[in-house]
Amino acid sequence: MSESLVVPSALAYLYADTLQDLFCEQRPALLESVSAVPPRERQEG
Amino acid sequence: MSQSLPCRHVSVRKADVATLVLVTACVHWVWEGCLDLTVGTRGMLVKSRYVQAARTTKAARRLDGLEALLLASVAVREKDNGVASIVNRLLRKDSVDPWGRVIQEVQRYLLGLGYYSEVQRKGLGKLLGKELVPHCDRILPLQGHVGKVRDLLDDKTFQ
Repeated sequence: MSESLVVPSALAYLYADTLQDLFCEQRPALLESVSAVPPRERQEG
Repeated sequence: MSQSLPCRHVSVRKADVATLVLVTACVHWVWEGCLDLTVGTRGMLVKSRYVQAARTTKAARRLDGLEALLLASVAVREKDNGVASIVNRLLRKDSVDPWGRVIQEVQRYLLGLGYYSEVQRKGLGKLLGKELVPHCDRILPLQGHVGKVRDLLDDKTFQ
């Protein structure tokens, strides 16, 4: 990761469409924890 | 609500972008050896999973962006470090648009590195504040580094 000038989270933002499939499959527990956080957004659906 | 990604005319659900960014920051710190994550379950009848984070003794190298915010949100008391709690502290509970805030933090970081410029809007648009204009000549070459992020997320050390 150190070769890139930007942190991985920023790369994930810029190219989210190309990574989405992967992270949905690979990290279910972490995904659940993170996405459980903002209640207002969840209410919006 | 969808989020338009810069330079490529692609939109992704805002919540999906924000969670991807947060998960990537988390996994990055695990990869760096500064965070340990463990999955637990709670509840007697209806069990739900949660992820607990623990700061390791390894000194974190200096990183900016969401990685820095995430690590700064790890509490001193170990029991307060469920990943949901860490993210909650990062987002601040009173945030009206938490996913938008995650994305704004990333954009602000990229602005600081010169991947965006701030341009004053004209007319009534001034009410919306400055507009962020992406520098596609700098952003598009970053695609060459996305494979490393993919490898990071694909690492099966932590599921």
